[in-house]
Order: sequence, then C-alpha cells, then structure tokens
Amino acid sequence: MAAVWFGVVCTAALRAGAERAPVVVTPGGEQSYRIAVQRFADDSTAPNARLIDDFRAKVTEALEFSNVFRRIDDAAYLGPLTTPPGRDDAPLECQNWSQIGADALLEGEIARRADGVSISFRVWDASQCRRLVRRRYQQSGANLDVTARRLADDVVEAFIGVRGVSSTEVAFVSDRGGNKEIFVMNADGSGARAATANRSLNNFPSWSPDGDAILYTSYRYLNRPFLFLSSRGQGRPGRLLSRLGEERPQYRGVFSPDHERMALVMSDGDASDIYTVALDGRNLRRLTRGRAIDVSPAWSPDGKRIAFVSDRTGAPQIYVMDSDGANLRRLTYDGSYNTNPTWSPDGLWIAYETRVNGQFDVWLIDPEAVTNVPLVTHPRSDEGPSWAPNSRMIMFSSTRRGLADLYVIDRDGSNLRRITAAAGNNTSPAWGPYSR
Amino acid sequence: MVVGSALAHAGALGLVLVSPGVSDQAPPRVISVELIAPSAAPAARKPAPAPAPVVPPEPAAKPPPPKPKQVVLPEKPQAPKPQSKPKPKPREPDVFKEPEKKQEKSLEELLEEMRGDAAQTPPAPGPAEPATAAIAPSPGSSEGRGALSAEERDWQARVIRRMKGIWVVPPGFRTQPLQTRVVVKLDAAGNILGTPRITQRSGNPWYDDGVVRGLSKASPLPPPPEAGEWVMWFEPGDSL
Repeated sequence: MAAVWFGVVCTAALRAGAERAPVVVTPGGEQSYRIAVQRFADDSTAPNARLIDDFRAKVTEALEFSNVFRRIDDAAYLGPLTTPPGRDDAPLECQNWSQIGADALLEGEIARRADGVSISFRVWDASQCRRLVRRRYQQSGANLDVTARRLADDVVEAFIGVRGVSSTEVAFVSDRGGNKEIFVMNADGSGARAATANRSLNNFPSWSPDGDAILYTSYRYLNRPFLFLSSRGQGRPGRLLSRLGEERPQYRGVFSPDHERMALVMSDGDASDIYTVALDGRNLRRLTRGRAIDVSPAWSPDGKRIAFVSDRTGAPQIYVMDSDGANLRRLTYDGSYNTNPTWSPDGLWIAYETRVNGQFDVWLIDPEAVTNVPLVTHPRSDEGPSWAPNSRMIMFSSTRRGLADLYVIDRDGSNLRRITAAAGNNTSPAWGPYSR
Repeated sequence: MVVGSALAHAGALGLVLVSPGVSDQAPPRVISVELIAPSAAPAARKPAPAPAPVVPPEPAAKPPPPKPKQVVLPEKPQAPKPQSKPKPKPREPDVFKEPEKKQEKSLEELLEEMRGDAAQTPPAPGPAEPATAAIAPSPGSSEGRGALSAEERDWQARVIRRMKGIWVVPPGFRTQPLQTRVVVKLDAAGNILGTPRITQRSGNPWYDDGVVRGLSKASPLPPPPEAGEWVMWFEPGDSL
C-alpha cells in the first residue's frame, strides 16, 4: 500500500517536473577548479624533501598557468599533506577533500633510482569521489621540471578534455642583447634562452610541426632576408632554399602542417608574393600575382588553405585562398588596416591585428567571416598574435608598459597576464606545438 | 667571409636552441606513459574524437639532443660591432609596418571607409563561437513551458544564484554552444537524492561532468516548493 502511494506521488512529481519551466543556469564567476596538490611520497633510495617540495611547487604553478585550476592553501587541508606511502590503488577518503571545497586532488609518488626517476600519480574528482586518471612516467634524467609541467597538462586534460600547454614552448624575437635575435622560452615565460646569436637581424620565428626546429628570417647572409633553420632534431640547421638563389629576398617562411613544404614570401622589386615550396627548394609554386604586396602567409590547420595579407585594394586586408592559390577571397572588410593573420589550431578562428587610431588591436574572425570580434583592445599597440596548441590561449606583444612585452590571454578575452619581464623589446611570439 | 661566418653560426644554431635551462641536468626527454587508467570514468566520458591523452614514448633510436653550447651575448661595451653588421639597419619586410606611410590615407578617406565598414558590420559584443560550429541550442526560455508560480520563480532565482557561485565553468567552455539538461530529485530540504540524471548531453563529456560536479557540490539546494524531480538546463548562453 505504501509502495503504491509512493509511486503515485513520484509519478505526480515527475509530471510536475516535466511540465514546469526548467531552471536555466548560466555560469557565474567561477572559472577555476580548486585543487589540492599533495606532496608526492618519496620512494627514493635517498629521499630528498626539497626535491619533493620543488616538484610540487612546479606542478602547482603549471596548473595555475592553465587558469583551469587554483590551489587550495595547505592550511585548509583535512587530509594528509603528503601522499601516504603505498596508496596506489587504494580508495580515497574523499570527504577530507570535498569538505574543504576541493574539486580535485592530485596525489602520487616519486622514486629516484640510479637509472632514472619514476613518477606515479592519480587525479581524483573529489566531489564525486571518482578517480579520473592514473598514470606513470619514467625518465632517465634527474631534472623534473619538464615532467612537472607535463603532469600538470595531463591533469588539465582530465578535467576539461583539452591538454594544458604549460609544457609547450614559445619562440619570440627579443632585442635584449642589442640585436634582434630569436629566443625560446617555456610558455609561462620561464627558462628563456637564445636560439640565435648572429648579431644580425632575425625575425618571424615559426615552428616545425614536430617542434624540433624553428624557421626564421635572418639578414645574416648578404645583408638581405633569407630563411634559416634552427634545429634540435634531425633537421640540419642553417640556410634553407639556397636552390632558389639569391636574387629575390625570401622571408616569413611557415611550414605546412604536414611538414612537406613551406609557404613564404618572395619580393620582386616593390611587389611581393606568396609561394609554396618543398623543403628542399624544389616545386616552387607562386600563389599570388600582380604588383601588390602580399605577405604573412598562415596555413589552416588542415593545410588546405592559406590566409595572408594583401594591399591589392589599396590598404592591407586579410585574404584566404586554397593552398594552390585557387578560390581567393577577401576576409576582412572592417577597418582599413589589417595584418598578421594566424589560424587557431582547431581551425575555428583567425586572429589578426587591426590598426585603430594609429596603434594595433588583436581581433578574431572566423574563416567564413561571419563573426569578427575584438580580443584585445588597448590604447597602446597589441600585435603579433599566436595561438596555444590547444586553441585556448593567445600570446601577443604589447607596448602597454612602454617597451614591448609578451602577454597571454584566454580566447574569450579573460585572464590577461604578462609573460616576459626581461629588458628590451619582446615581440613576434610563435607558440610551439605539443612536445612528443 | 660572410658565407663562412654564416656557416659557423649555422653550426652553432642547432646547439643553442636546446635549452640550457632544461638540459642542464640530463633532460627528461624520455617520458613514457606506462599506464593510463580512465578506469573509474563513466562510459560516456570518452568523447568521439578522443585525443590520445598519452605522451607517446620517444623512439629509442632518436639521438639525444646535443649538449647546449653556452650562448654568450656580447656585453654592450665589449667589442665594437663587426663590419659585417648591416649598416644601415636593413629594412625588415615587416608586414605592412614599413610601407605604412606610402599607403596612409587622408583622415577623410579613413573616416569614409570606416563609416562604410560600420554600416556593413553589426556590433559584436565579444568573442562568440563562429557560425561554423554547431548551432547553439535554443536558450532556456521559460515561455511556453508552463507558468511558474511566484513561489517557484523565487525558488528558481535562488537556485540559479547558488549554482552560479559554485558551478565552475573554465574559460574555454564559456564561448561554446553547449547545453546540458539534467533532472535532479530533491527532498523537501533541497538535498539532491541520488545522482543527477542527464537527459540531454551537451556533446562535450567534460562539460557534462562539470555540471554534475557542480550539482554535487551545491547540494543541498534551496528547499524546493515541493519535493520531487526538477529539470535544470546548464548553458554558457549569454554569460559573457
């Protein structure tokens, strides 16, 4: 009898619920999950507390760089600060973490042995008491910095389905040493180091798809622009495309996504055109013609299209064409001066810079030119946008502090942060791909 | 001479790109994932175009990058600039920064052009998903869904307020046309009974997960007008 009555009530409630207008919830201000990062247990033959603390600090910084997480203060912990030894597969006392408002818990172990380091970790959804990831890294070297960032990027992926980018690198141009040289740094601005030191003029760095090399334009040869490679992989560093001779300057090369060829600009008198060419200098193909200045080629992530800049109508605007030069069409009509297009890795957007009152802002336009919106607007110039490999962030240079610095901003315009702090001007960021 | 210098630099380049910061102490290049266990994840967690969440082990054959050479940039007062130094500074083919002047238009022309542009372009409030993406689900308008009593309206407002303060929506999700529909079973005190039931997934399992996570944290909700099942839609909508 009671069961029947219960059923009637439930049916009524269900009907009522279905007929009522839904509660429609839109996001509030909460953008970051709160994460408790435990000190990893030290399973090493010779434990080292400082190393464990350093690793934890690096992981936490990298997690916060993503904007997906913010740390929970140690003082709030109800559970242990350090992962208890031998936890591995054991269930977690989730209440200790959910009660302090943790969305996530990261726990793990580090074991340093003579032949390398082993790092095991688990990521928990504390509010639902569910383990999302259980993983182990093995490395031969002792330096854990890169591993800390990779681990953090994995934790980000567990929560949003898109890998974090703290372990990626950015190439950029800096005159901090007096000349414009190519530098490389971690995406968060740490670990900056010179990739060129030729005291000429170097610009337009662009990564190979495998992240092993940087293609750039340099005046170091004949005092005119040619393309060079800086490589840490199998590629031979040095000048490229020498097969094309020295008559026409070459600049702003960018590898195609399949790494089979590159797009570049070659000048002929006052005009310049976009070309594609195989990496060995064969199969040169001219994609644009006429006396206009056509520059800044940018591949679509599928390699089928190329965005570029042309002044063929009198002022620079963004155009898109197939990678064989067909189906040319103008993309930007807003503003009289639009340059520097760069395609997001997910293919949805093209970031570019537009001149407003004599300085530049960064805008986003979709490849079908349906939506065209400002991303960064500031009375000082914001230039040279470059996408993170997960398409969630954009790095650009800005003179808002006087000299040019690199800044990063989320695609929706939130979380603007300065990345470079060194002297000199830092410009032309090129965000590298995910490391392998 | 110039060529020789270029070659010398070229030789050094491959070395200097390798970060001293990273490779001071034997870089941890070889990172292999030995185990991935999305074990406790629900069946629906795997998205269709699942990006391999694995850092693939590097091929053993790959030679380790050479030890970085110390890059010493010349001190300012040290060594005068070499003769081979471009002089005057070569003009960079820097997109259109240089030819800017010759293309500069008169103010009138610019204004005219801007007026023309403005007429063509609707004002844009902020980055939205381009039209190439899936069409956004219809906004959760309450019209036509059955009238709400004043009490229900008040309760809904309080639920929305509470959820806004708890539901975490990372920036990447805020500009996407996502909508997750959930039925929650509430007791008279507002406690969520059992696991919220997703009746319509957004297409992004991580977003759906975040909705359930938010509800778990928000329980108890404000006491409902009556115990039973209530429908909730979660959408980034016009949250910008």
